[in-house]
Formats: sequence, structure tokens, C-alpha cells
Amino acid sequence: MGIKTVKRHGDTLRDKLYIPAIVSGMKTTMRHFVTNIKDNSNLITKSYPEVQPTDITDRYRGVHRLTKREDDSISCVACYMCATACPADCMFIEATERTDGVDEKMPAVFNIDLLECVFCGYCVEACPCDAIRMDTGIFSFVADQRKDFILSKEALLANTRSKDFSDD
Amino acid sequence: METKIVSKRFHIPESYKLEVAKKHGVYGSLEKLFTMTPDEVITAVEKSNLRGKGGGGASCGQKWRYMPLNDPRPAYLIVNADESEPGTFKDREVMDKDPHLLIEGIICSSYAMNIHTAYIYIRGEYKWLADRLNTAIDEAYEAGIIGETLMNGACDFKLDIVVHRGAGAYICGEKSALIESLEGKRGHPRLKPHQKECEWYFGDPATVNNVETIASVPEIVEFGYEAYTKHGTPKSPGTMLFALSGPVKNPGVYELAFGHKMIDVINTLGGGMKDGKKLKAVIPGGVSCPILTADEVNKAVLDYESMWDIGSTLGTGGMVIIDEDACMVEVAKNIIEFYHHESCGQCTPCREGTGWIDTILHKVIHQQGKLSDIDNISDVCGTLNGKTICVFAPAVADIIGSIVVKFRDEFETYILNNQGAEHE
Amino acid sequence: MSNIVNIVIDGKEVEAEKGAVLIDYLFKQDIDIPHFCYHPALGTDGNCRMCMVEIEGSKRPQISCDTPVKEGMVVRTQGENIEQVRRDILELELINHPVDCPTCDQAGECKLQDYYMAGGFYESRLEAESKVKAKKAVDLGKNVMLDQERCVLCTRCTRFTDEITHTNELGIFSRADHSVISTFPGQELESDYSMNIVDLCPVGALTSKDFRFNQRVWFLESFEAICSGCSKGCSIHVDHKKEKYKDDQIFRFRPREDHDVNGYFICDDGRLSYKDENDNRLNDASINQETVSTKEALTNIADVLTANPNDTLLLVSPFLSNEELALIKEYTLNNGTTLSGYSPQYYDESFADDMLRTSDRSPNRAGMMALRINENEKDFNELLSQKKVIVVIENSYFEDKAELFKDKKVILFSSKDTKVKEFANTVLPVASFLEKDGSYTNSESVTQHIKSGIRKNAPVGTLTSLWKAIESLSKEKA
Ligand SMILES: Cc1cc2nc3c(=O)[nH]c(=O)nc-3n(C[C@H](O)[C@H](O)[C@H](O)COP(=O)(O)O)c2cc1C
Ligand code: SF4
Ligand code: SF4
Ligand code: SF4
Ligand code: SF4
Ligand code: SF4
Ligand code: FES
Repeated sequence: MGIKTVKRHGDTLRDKLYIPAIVSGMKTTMRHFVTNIKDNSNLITKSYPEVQPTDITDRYRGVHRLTKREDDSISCVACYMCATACPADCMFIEATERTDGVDEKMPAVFNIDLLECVFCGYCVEACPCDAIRMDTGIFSFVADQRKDFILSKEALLANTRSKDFSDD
Repeated sequence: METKIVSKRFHIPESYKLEVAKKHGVYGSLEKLFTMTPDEVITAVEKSNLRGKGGGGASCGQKWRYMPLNDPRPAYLIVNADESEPGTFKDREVMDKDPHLLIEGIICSSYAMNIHTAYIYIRGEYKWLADRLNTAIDEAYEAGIIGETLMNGACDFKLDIVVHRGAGAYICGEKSALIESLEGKRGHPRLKPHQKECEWYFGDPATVNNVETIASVPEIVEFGYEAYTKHGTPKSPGTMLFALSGPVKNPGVYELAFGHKMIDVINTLGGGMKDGKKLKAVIPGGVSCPILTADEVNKAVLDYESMWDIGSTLGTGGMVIIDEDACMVEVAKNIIEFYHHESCGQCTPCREGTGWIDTILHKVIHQQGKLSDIDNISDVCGTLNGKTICVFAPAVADIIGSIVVKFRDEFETYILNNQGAEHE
Repeated sequence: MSNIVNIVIDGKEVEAEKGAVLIDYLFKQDIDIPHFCYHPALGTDGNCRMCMVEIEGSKRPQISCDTPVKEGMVVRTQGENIEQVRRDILELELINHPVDCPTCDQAGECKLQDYYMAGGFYESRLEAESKVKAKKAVDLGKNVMLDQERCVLCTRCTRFTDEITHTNELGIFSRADHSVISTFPGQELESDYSMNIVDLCPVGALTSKDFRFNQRVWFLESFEAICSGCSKGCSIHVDHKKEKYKDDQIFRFRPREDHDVNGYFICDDGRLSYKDENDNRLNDASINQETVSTKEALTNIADVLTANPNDTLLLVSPFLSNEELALIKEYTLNNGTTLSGYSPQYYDESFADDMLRTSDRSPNRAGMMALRINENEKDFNELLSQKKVIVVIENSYFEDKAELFKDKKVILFSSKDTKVKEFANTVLPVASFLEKDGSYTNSESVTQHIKSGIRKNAPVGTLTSLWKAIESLSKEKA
């Protein structure tokens, strides 16, 4: 294997003086400042949370939900594949016998700690039953206590697919 | 054309009765038997080259030699009357029409191998035959032919014969499965031993022989092996009961010396095809062997070696005739249903493979076949062949595989003409 | 010596015993030859047909579990042909398999999964709807659950009940691909060794009701230990796990192959005795029923012991390791206390059988005897009446005999929560049997060593460490 030498930037005298760079930066800042003062209708920055984004795509990974079967019961069979794949180790599942005849097994406890979650979506990929998805469109989740960031099975089941997303 | 040795009394009314059969010479071999040593009997059977009629065609005398000599354990003769192979119905003729011949054969064979207990393992559905055998055995006990001595003390040799009814499983015709079943267990074939040896019944030596094989022994004892080997071909001497079934004019059981041409037998004894239909194929030895096309039938000669040469086997000699009207897909389906139902389920390829072929053919017949199904069937047949405990699975591969190969066009046309709308 | 012949396995020359089963030598070569039905404890049955190998000179592949070793045999376990054969048979094995791995406890230690991952990877040719259906989640009794659909009919379970326990509860019913395993009508599993069929079953057809859905096996960690259920000291694997935000917990015991001790199996009672390790633990040190720190309790004990060495009886038990017993015995010799190992409460004739179980339900009596620790009843009773200070170390003798403590000063070392606690002056929790290292000698004089893998969040001290602390505290005083 050869070694590729990449030339360092910032070696010139001009770069080393810093002042020209600062000046050119300030120029850009001032230009924006002046334009926005005159007319702020083209602002890219939103006044969040009053203004909500409208350009979230279907592939955006929001807060999780647990899907349901056709008979409206939980799809998840507590196989722990998601928890196995989860790099943040933030899924806490406890399995139990399912007695309604639909399947053998289901989660008694299914908690996701959103404070630990890195929203990688591995859990969605890992699930063999399409039982967990991140298509709720909830991209901002707030709470004022740590424990409220732990979503329970009930909360995850209550989440639904975002209305803004297409139906397929 | 016929050579009647085993079937010599079949035409006599009520020949199953001791008095009638006796008038016509049954138990005639015993006088000679008692002058021979057991070893001489085995040698005679060996020299006669009597071959097993249960489908394998192995030398009967050689098999008897595997029984250990001077062994302190009791030995057993087990007569295989499980006859459940589709297309095979010869043993029942023997038991129906001449049960005393079978008893005579059992006496000769037991004497040869120093056996004092013989079992007749009979197919469960043959209830009336089990009754007939039991009646004949009772007659024989009463007449002092068997029991504490043979022929009322003519020979000081104890012999008991017991009829045991199976529960109707084809696989219990396989000799080791038969013994398992006789031992009171599930009829699972055993693994083949690594050297040639006898069978073991509760750990005691035993020999399993087909009904017809045993019924052929008295002839050899009475008239000597030379008389027997005069019939047939040098390698397949003697006679065999051939069963003809299907759309021929005169289906039935005919005893023939080996070496006749198959087509002659079909045309003369069988009386040719019914309603002037054309012959399409023949499954020669019960359904467990490769099918023969009409061309092959014209060449086929009824002895072991000739049949091997044309890529099939003589099996049990039960010829299933198939005429031009028959659809080979349906023939295959019919046969695989039987095997799927009868596989003992012990080894994976056979347990799952028979069911899979059945499923595929079911799909084909229900308008959901694909051309790739034909190769799938051949593939499964490949896995069935030579990878199982007993030869049940290779037999399935033989018959189904040969039908699919030899009538592939018919399968293709069937699939293409019968594809449901939902399939391309 | 003439029995040893040379054979070639995958190009490597190997010495083997003539006539022995070939598959054993494949195992010895670390060749993971696929197999379902063969098991060294149960022998050859030859029904799964997975263990096929090529042998030079034979037309067809042969099953290695029924091939005797012959001089000069050349065996191939690899190569396109034989791998194709294996793949074909595996495909057949799977055509009626439900493949419900997500709900199957065997997932992760399932031979079907392993073999598919190692050599399968074919496109499925069978539709799911044509699979043969059978019963799922059947309770066979004795803590065993059966799923007939997942069964590969290797008959290991039936052979175990027929040939090992001779209880004959299991059989195969029906034929062909409708064959299923079940108990005979009106029967339940009744053997005390029933749960071994769970380990024997190569797939998820037989699973443990006790372990059912408790944990996925790939999360479990394992260390080797022995069972303390009786003086046989069966070798086991301890499967445990410290889950996030929880404490280390044992989930199951599995038998460990050990031909000096238990062979391949363990009894159900032993297997379930892992619960004793998790449940009912003593956690807090106390002096006169008041919770104190370990330090305080230690000082207190050191004080009592140094004050009355000649008036002290140390009662140890056959649950202690050889090292612990030796330590305490040495203490006794140096300090003039007396020592007894009296522990008749562990004998239970009804527990013994002709397989593994013995009548002494403690793991190390032989070790105690080897150290010549007196367990004579008369001597013990005499000492008990004379001595004023009784130090009870992991011995449950006083469990229902607290009245014997009248007018005594009692020091209790225990890993279990016990009633004796209420009568003891000083109580000190110690690490349990599997939380510490140590060696134990079984009733057949086989000594085995445990190296514990358990890491509790707040570990209690081992007896050895605590005792050494007491010794040094005593020295400081002296
Ligand atoms: C699947 C299978 C079924 C069999 N069924 C019968 C049978 O019904 N009757 C029979 O005599 N032999 C049957 N046999 C052959 C026996 O295993 C055995 O070879 C025969 O009884 C030996 O007798 P023989 O040497 O007199 O032919 C069967 C073999 C197999 C593999
Ligand atoms: S998104 Fe990633 S980090 Fe979050 S629960 Fe799923 S797998 Fe774990
Ligand atoms: S969400 Fe999916 S992957 Fe996670 S336990 Fe449930 S079924 Fe398994
Ligand atoms: S080949 Fe079929 S019938 Fe023969 S033992 Fe195997 S499963 Fe049973
Ligand atoms: S036995 Fe269980 S883990 Fe194994 S393949 Fe079947 S369902 Fe999956
Ligand atoms: S239940 Fe398990 S051990 Fe028993 S036959 Fe089936 S796969 Fe084998
Ligand atoms: S392990 Fe050899 S056939 Fe099953």
C-alpha cells in the first residue's frame, strides 16, 4: 500500500495572518444581515417551534412505534432481534407467553430509552416481523424528566404512522 | 406356456383343505426330507439357485447359510406374507388356494435351519387369509404333521407355526421392519449390518423369507435341485408367480419359468390389451421399480438379469400394465400418494421427499404446475436414491424418477395445458 | 496396539481405532460434521442422514455415524459433491419446518440454523402454505415443552427415555411427514432426568418450560462449575447474564460432558437448583438484629473470637470448598477453637437413585472428610453443650433448632436468608456457592474446581476474604 501525501491548506502567509479571512467572512455576514433586514421573507432559518418543518421525507427516522396485526393486536413477538442489533443498548424487552392463540410469544415489557437511542434505525432493519418502525414523523420529543423519555410498550403501540407520509 | 410348480394345486376346488390337498400330493416331500441331513437340504436349495421372490431376488440357500450353526439360542423362521406392494398379489393366491404347501415349505425350511418356531407375518388386511392359514395350521396340528414331532413321530423334530397379523403398514414387509413390528415395536427398518449376516429377532438368529420362496422349497426337496433348474434360465432357474394387472383381457397370477418375453406373456396369457387399446407402459415388478415404455416392453425378457440389463428389475413379478388412455402425471400422482402414505418416516429424505413430490404433483394436477416442477421432482428423486436406511426411498426414486424422465414430454404438455389463470 | 489404524480425513492422516465409529473421529478433528440423530450417549440411529461423508472406494456417500473405521480409509467431508448432498438433505429437513425462530427459544443454539448458515443458503422451493401442520406448545410435563412442527424426528428424545431412563414415555406417532413425537396417551414425562431431552434435542422442538422466553441464549455468558445438589457434583455450565441496569443473574444450568463424573446428563432437581442461587439471599450484616456495615460486623466477630478462643465451636459444612475448609481448620489449629462439620440434615435417602443422584445433598463431604474434620454426632453434641460461642458457617443444621442456642453467643456466616438470623448475635452475609472460586471433592473422590464468572453489582465478600480480614483484625488486637 502506498501513502498519499495531501498538501496542507493554510500554509500561505495570507492564511497565516487570519485577518483577510476574518474580513471576508464578515463581508458575507454583513451581506446577509443587510438583505434580511430589508426583506425577511426568504429566511432559511425557521422560528422553531412556532414554525414547523414541512419537508420531512418518508425515510426520516422519528420516534419508534410498534405496529399491529390485522386483528389490531401487537405484531411484536419479543424475539429481541432489535435489542440485539441496537448499538446503544437502549431497548429493554421482557418476553411472555401469548395466550390468545395468535402467536406463542409477545413482549410483556418493551421499553425504549430515547435518551440513549441514537436513532440509527437498526432496530427497524433487524425486525423479522415488521413490528417496529420509525415512521411516526415525531422528530422532536420533549419531556422534563429523564424517566419520561423511556417509552413503554403502550406508548409505542399508541404511536401511529405519520399522516404526512405516503401510504405504502 | 405356464410351468406349474407352486401353483400346481391352484385349480383344484377346495385344495386349501388338508384332505383335498393330501390327495393331490401335499406333504409329499417330507418323506424324502427326513432322509436328508439339514446341511443337505440347504445345499440342495443352494444348488437349485432358488431366488427370493419377495423382490430382492437374492439366493435363498446362501441366505440360509448365514444362520449360525450350533448356536445355543433359539432360531426363527419368519415368513413374510405382508404383500402390500401395489401390483403384487401372488402370495395371497398361495395362502388362499394352497396353505398346506406353505406349511410344507415351512417344515422343510425349518428342518434345514434347525428352527422350531416359525412365524407367518401376514398383512393386516388379509384377515380372511390369516383365518385360512390358521385353519390349515390347526388341521396340521391335529393331523400330527407339526407340533411336538413331525408327521406323527416320523421325525423327532418340534415345530410350531404362529400366524401374526400386521397392522397394515407396507413398510412392515421390509424384513427388518417386519421383525421390529413382530417384536412389538414400531415398524422401522433397521440399519444394514456391515457384514452379511442373518436377521435378529429379539437378539436371536432369524431368517425372513417370502411366502412364495418358502412354497418353492418342497419341490426342490422332493424332486431334487436338478429337476428345478431344468426350468428357466441358467442364472434365474425355476419358476415365478407373475401377476398381471391393468387393462389386459385376462389379468391374474400365472406361474412361468424364467426367460419368457414379457410381451408374449401379456399377449397370450394376458389375452392382449382390453378394447384394442395400445400398450403404453409396464411397471414390471410391483410399482417399486423403473417403468418400461412400450418399446422396452417389446424387448423385455422375464428373468432377473435381462431385466437389469434394460434398466429395471423383476421385483416381485407383479406387472402393472398401462394403456394409452392413462395420463402419466396421474399415474405418478397415484403412486406417490401411496409412498407418501406408507413411508415409515424414519429417514429425512424419504419422510420429507415423498411428501414433497406429492405436494408438487398435487399442484400440477390442480393447475398450478410450473415447468421447473419437473426438475424439482427429479432433484428430490436424486436425494431419495441411495441415501436412506432401507430401499423404500430408492424404489420411489426408481419409479417416479423413471416416469418423469421417460414421459417428460407428457408432463410438460400437461403443465402447459393445465396452467390456471393465475400462473403465467 | 494392532487395533490402531491410520485413516485420512480431509487430507490429514489420523490414527483411529479399528471398528470405532467414524463420526467420533471427525469430532475429534474438530470437523463440525452436521448431524442430528447421532449422540455419543445414545449411539447410532442413522435416521437423519445429515452426517454423510465421501469415502474413497464407495460409490455413494456414507453416513459417518454408521461407518466403522477401517485401515487406509480415505474420508472427505468437504467438496462440492458432498456439500450438495448435505444441502439437499437439509433442504428436505426444512421443507416442513415452521422456521419460527423469532419465537423459538432454541434460536442461537439450533443445529438447523447452524447448518443452514454453514452450508445451506439456497433459494426456498416450497411454499409456506403447503407445510405440514402439527401441534405447538404442548406441555409434556416435567418442565418440558414440545413443538411438534419443529421436530426433525432424530429420535434422540425417545431413545433417551427408552434406553437411558427406561421410562419409555415418548414415542413416534403417525407416519411419513405426519410423524410426530408425543408422550403415549395418558402419560406424562415422569423421569427425574426428563429435562435432559431439552439439551439432547438438536432443534427447538423440546424446550425447557422453566427457561421458556426468559432470555435469548446469545445474550448469555457461561462458566464451568459443578452442581451442589448432591455429592455427585455433576459438571455443569452456568449460564448467566448481567443485563443493563440489572444485577448478574443465573438463567439456567446445563450439563457439561464429564466422563469422570456425570457423563452427559444431570438430574432435573440439580438443573433447577440454580434458583437457590438467585433467590432468598442474605444481604445485610447485622449485630443484634441491627443492620451494620460489614466492617463493624467483622470487628465484632474478631473481638468475640479473640476473647473466647477456647470457648468457641466453629461449625462448618460440606457446602464449603476445600480451600475454605482448610483455612478454617488452620485457624482452629492456631487459635485453639474447636471445629465440627456435623451436618446430618443434608442426608436424604429418598433422593438417591441408580443413575446419578446420591443420598447426600451436599457437594463436598468427601473434601471435609479428607481434611479430617470431625462430623461425629456425639462429639458435636458434647461440644455444643460446652461451648459458649457458636460460629455457624454455611451450615443449615440449626434452621429449625434455634432453641439449642439458649445462653450462647451465636455468629452466623450465611449466603442464604435463614431463620437462624433472628437468633444470632452477629450475622455476616457471604458469597454463595457459585459466586466464589474453589474446589470440591465428590463422593467418588473426583476433585473439581470452580472459577466463578458472576459479577454482582454489589458483591458480598467470600468467606475466604472475610475470614482473612477477621484474622488480621485479631492479630492487630493481639
Ligand atoms: C419397502 C419394502 C417392502 C417389502 N415388502 C415385502 C413384502 O410385502 N413381502 C415380501 O415377501 N417381501 C417384501 N420386501 C422384501 C423383504 O425385505 C425381504 O427381502 C424378503 O421378504 C426376503 O424374502 P425372500 O428372500 O424370500 O425374497 C419388501 C422390501 C421393502 C424394501
Ligand atoms: S434507533 Fe438504533 S439506537 Fe435507537 S432503539 Fe433503534 S437500534 Fe437502538
Ligand atoms: S420489535 Fe421486532 S425485532 Fe424487536 S422484539 Fe419485536 S418482533 Fe423482535
Ligand atoms: S427409506 Fe423410508 S421407509 Fe425406509 S427407513 Fe427410511 S423413511 Fe423408512
Ligand atoms: S428449531 Fe427453532 S431456532 Fe431452529 S430453525 Fe426451527 S424455529 Fe428456528
Ligand atoms: S423432539 Fe427433538 S430430540 Fe425428539 S425427535 Fe424431535 S428433534 Fe429429535
Ligand atoms: S447423525 Fe448420522 S444419520 Fe444422523
